[in-house]
Amino acid sequence: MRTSKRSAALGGLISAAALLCCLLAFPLAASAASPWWQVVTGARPTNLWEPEDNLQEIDVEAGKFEGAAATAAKIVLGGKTLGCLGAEGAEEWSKKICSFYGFPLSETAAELEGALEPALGPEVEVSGGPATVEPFEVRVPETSAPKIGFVQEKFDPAPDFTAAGKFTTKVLAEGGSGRISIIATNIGDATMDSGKKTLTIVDQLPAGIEATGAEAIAGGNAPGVGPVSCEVKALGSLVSCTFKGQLAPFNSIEVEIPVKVTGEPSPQILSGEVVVSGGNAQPKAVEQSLRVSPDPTPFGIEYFSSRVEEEGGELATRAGGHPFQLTTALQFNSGRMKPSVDRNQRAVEQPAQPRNFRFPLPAGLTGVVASLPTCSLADFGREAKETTNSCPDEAAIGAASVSFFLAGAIGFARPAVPVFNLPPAVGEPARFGFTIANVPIVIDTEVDPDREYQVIATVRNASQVPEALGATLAIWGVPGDPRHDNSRGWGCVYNIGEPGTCQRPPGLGEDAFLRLPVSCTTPMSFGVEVEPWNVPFATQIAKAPFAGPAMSGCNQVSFAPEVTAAPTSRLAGSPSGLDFGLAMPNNGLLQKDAISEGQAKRVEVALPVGMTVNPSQAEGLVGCSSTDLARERFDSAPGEGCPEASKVGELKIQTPLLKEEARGSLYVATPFANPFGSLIALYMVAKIPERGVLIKQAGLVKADPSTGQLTTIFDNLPQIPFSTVKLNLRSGARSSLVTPPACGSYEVVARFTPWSAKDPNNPTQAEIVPRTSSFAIERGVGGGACPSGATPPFHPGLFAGTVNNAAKSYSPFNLRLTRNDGEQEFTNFSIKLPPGVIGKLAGIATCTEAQIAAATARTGPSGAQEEINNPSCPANSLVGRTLVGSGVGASLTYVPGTLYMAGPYHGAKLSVVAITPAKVGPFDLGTVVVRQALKVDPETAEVFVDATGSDPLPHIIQGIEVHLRDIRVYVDRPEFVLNPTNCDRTSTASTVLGSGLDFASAADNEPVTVTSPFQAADCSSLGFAPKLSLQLLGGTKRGATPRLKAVLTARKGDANIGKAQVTLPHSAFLEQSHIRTVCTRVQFNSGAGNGEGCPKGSIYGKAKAITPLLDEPLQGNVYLRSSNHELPDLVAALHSSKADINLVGRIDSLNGRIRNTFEGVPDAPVTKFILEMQGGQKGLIVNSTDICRGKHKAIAAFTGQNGKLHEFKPAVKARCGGGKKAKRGRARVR
Amino acid sequence: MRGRGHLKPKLLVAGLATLVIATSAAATVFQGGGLRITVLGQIQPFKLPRDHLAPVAVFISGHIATVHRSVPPQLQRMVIKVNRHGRLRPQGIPSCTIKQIQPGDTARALANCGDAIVGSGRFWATVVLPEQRPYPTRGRLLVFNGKRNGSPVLFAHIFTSQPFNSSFVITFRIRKIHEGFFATQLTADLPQALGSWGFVDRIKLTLRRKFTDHGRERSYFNASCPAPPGARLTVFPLARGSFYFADRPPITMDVVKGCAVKK
Repeated sequence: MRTSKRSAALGGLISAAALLCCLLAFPLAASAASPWWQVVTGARPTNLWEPEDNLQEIDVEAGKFEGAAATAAKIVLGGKTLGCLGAEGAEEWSKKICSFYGFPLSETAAELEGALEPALGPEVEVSGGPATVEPFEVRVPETSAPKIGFVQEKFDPAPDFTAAGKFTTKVLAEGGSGRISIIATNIGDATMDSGKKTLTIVDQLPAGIEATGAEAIAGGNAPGVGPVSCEVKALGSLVSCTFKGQLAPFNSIEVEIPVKVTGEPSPQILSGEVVVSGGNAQPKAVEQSLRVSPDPTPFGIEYFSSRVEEEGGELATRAGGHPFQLTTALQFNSGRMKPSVDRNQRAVEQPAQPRNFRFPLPAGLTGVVASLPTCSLADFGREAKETTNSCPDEAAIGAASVSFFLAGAIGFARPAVPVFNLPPAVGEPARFGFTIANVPIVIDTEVDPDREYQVIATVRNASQVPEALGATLAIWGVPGDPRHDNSRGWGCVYNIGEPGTCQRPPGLGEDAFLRLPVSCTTPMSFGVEVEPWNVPFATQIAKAPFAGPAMSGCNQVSFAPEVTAAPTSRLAGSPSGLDFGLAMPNNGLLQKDAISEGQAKRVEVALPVGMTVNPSQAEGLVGCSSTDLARERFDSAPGEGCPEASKVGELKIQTPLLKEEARGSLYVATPFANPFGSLIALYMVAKIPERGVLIKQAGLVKADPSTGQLTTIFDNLPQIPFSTVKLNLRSGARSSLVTPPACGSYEVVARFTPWSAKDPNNPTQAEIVPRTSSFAIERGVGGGACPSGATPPFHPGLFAGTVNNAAKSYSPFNLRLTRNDGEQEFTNFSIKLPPGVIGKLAGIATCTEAQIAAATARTGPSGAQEEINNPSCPANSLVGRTLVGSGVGASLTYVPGTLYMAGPYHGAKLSVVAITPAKVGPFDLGTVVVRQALKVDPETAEVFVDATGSDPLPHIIQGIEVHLRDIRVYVDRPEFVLNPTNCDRTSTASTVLGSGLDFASAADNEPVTVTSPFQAADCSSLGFAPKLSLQLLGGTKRGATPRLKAVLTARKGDANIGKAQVTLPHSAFLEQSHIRTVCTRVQFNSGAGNGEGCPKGSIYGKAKAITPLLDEPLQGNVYLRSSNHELPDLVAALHSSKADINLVGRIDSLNGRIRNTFEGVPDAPVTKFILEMQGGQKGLIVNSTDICRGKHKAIAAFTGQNGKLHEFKPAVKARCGGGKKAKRGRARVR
Repeated sequence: MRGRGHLKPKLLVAGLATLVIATSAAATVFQGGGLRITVLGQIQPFKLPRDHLAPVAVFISGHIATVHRSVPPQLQRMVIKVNRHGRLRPQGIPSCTIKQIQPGDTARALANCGDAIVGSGRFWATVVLPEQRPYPTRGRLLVFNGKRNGSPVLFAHIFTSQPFNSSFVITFRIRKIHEGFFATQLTADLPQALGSWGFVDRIKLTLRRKFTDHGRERSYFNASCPAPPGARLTVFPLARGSFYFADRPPITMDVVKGCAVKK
């Protein structure tokens, strides 16, 4: 490359350059600069195949000399004159000229063939002609041949002679199979000098490939660079070229060897070997790989390598070290060359021109650009001498040697140029560039958070004007290293013209730039991706990988992280954020001879036991999906990626690589749809928009299922060095965490696994670096005194009642149970509704066991959502709603649920099941089912939820402590809850079990009973006038023991009966001898209760009650049951499938008359009550007189629940006589 | 009911004489196994003829108690054997059936069978039902001469209004025996009459009935004094009572009384 002014553009090279971005190197023991070789081989075309004939057309136009016809020129081939071609005229000037040249005149095809045979062999065939009449066609079978040239020298006897005719040669076909290309570049920083020892390039061609010629140039044929002599040996199987002279850094020796594929070729890869030796550089041998294929050569990458090198060319492998340079070579697939004697006239038919380049660098290979000088874009673009630009030498960061073809004056060229550090554009961490023939090549960089934070160098929209063929680009590990002084900047490395002087810039620092990975497990992986211009964007990408070595010496990589961690609140059991800091020393990062400190691959941070997730934070929180995360870009605005509502903290990361600080947020990942498939995961997103840096890291949060202890794990952290990480988890009312429940000192334990571990995925205990940070909890909840450590206090609150308390009205019943922070957790509770507050079960279905089981089974990742979408229990079993508030602090997270009626449970005939789809914010904790036995006091009909027969309240769900603080129940099914008709002051009572000191142990549970006053209103407006009929059925004579039938009928709208007292007539004696047995209370309550265990002999009658509350009547036996009264009680044990009621009557006498008093009649509506006492041998009543004689009246006294009294004396009817008479004779006697 | 059964009144008289003597002595008491039975018997008049029967009145008081003041065991059967010097003489007294007096209160019993009455008194019992605090009951007691299945019996009609109006009858079956001093036996099964849950505590009874039969004054209860010749006073076994309780062996005790020979 001799031309001083070139206006070509290089696209391809760029690619190589890209690598630079951020790589590493090794601390180099200081040594002198030295030359060494990089050898790249290939072929044009890349796909070699059967040889073609060389075909050339020679056209001769007649000329004149001194007015007479004269046409003659030397035939020149390969630097040799072979004869003289022309056409004779009348004056025979042509012969004279040829004679002057020393050759006979050749005019015909045969004569020309004879002239060419010595050079092209006997196979050459020439047809056409004679000269000036028809063109000649020269054919050399299956062999490449040089272009036949013609030279017309000054004809000595004719001083005015300029030309005799015009001779033109067109190479119609080069011939042969193509050309082998060998480029040996001195990529060291010292001149290669072969003055004492001749440089030799020997190509031992692969078998099946035969060289038919060879030629080479050195240093682009720059002035003063010695020639390269080549010869074909061993019947074309070996080519040897020699060079004596000096070759400056990043200058190349380019060898071209015309070859033909011999024999019957088949598609294959053939291997030869190229050895470069001699001079003052170490010999270099490379494998020569040639592709034999009949296919047209496609766009692609013929050769790619990327090596991190030490001085002298050895691979740099010291983990955390700073290498001498990163050298990348790239050569594209080539088309067939059209040869010419003059390199400037040669051409090549490339398959396509490259457009965009990407060079992913190995993870962990980084560069520190913060302290490096830069070349301003203005200087970079300002042309200076000899097609250079105005960048200062101190901004040089490497050098490149670029092969390109520019049709016209330049043709093929491979100049060496400096590579400069440029100011990064907005959105880039670093930028580099170089210019070739005034064409700027800019290498942008980016960091790919999705690929282990690899640095990716890119060149976009490379120029097509110079056709890029290949390049070698070196980025220095320590740009200020004096060993690069011979190749720093235009004055040193550029060998065209006189671009300037070569001297070290004053004050140039020696900070390291490249840093090698700090992990020794994975070989370095390089790559290149290139897409061409001739196809639509992104439709064709050529790729090539290159594997480098793995690092070594990881045991010398120091690793000394420091952590600080403390909650934002020092109050026990209170909402709190967390301030977490991580500091990493980076002393060796910039010191060129030092080993950089290692980075953490994995950080596992365990919060102390007791510091748990605060459910309060879930309200309004959403999850960041993987799609959201994917939308995060370095320049995306808040909310464009992860929703702002998923943010739970802030993040600041300072890296020594850049001046800017990365800032970002911590987001909650969408549960179960995160990289871990876990309930809790975090996304750490930090950005430096102006540098295009985006850090995205997913972290797993594990919550111990029994203690709730939180452990956060960030794995596969980038090997990119950082100085500090500051993470602040949200504080305030909806803070992320809850502080431990007691005062004292606590430790946050961080365990680091360095990348430098022998196997970072399975580190030994010795390799794991633990760090702790202590903090103290100093006060109690709200700043009060520290918890004593004994059982916490427990003062639950209860608010309950119907919304509308009008007597005998249906109204929703609401209940709310609360507790304060710092108190014992709820474990269970019972609720006893006010007397008379009852539910109308008629028409209500129950949720079946199978349906409840189905709800309980919904524990999967979307269990709660499934329950929301498709409730397990039938709608007709729905009786209310729940709303559960959990968390600590001023703001709780409320989760709605539903309340269903269900069947028997834990000995109760009814139960209620609260089904709560535990979907709190983004967290789907499945469906929580709490079933509670619903009992009806058989003697008072008071409804109560029995804690002993109920499921415990959940304390911890999937590791998240629930911290239930507000339980609300809304029993709001229309016409379900009925108010009492008694307006006495009463209350709802709840016995709440506190968790004691240990939630897991029921032994220390602490029951506390709380009440909420209740009073129905307007009872006095209710009427009260029940009716009673009494009948004695059976014998009417004295001594007979008839059956007694009593029917009580209540008026609609009346107050319920509170007390019923009936005194039988004097005529009714107790038949004491018929008292067979009495049911003891123990017997009565045994078994299923309600008389099931009573002996048959204790049954004295039966009873039935009809109530609008149930679909079925309550009915059952009437027993004599032992009591605390003087006499046994008369108990009507009424049963239904949903409730049992015992109407307990106290038996006494009024002046010897049998009197029964139902004192505590439940405050429930009963439309009809029928009592039938047995007669005959089982009858307790004996007539002391003939009851058909006289009048026999009972005394009835009823008291309404509203206090109203209704007394009357109903006649006791009896069947007296028979037939019509009997009817008439029904006695009404006293 | 006049004069058929000749029940050897002199035997009864002897027994009654013994009771008479006992007026100056302590009541007969049995105590064992935590049970205490006290029987007090008395005959009037104290002086009785040696060799023929004379009308007497018999006062009987029985008390069953436990030393722990708990409910005594249930008395299920009483068997009373009367000295051969005492005689029951139902001949000439109207006989009553149980249907005439049961059920019914005292007034109704008297209205229906007043002619057959041979004694009266009071009755105390405790009704004990399972798991129930024992409750006391008491009432008037009337003793009627009666027959059942053609045999002479005594009906003890009890009416109580505490707690309820209720009445029942204890039937004493009477039969002759020849067991040493004793020639008449009265047997009563109490549970049948009192119900399964009744526990007799105490009975206080006066048996006395004089009537005129064919113009002659007669007495249902008659006795003579079995003093040996030459002696004015004597002591003799008036009666032997055997008490049968549930779940324990029967207890037998003699009531010994004295009498003086009426000249």
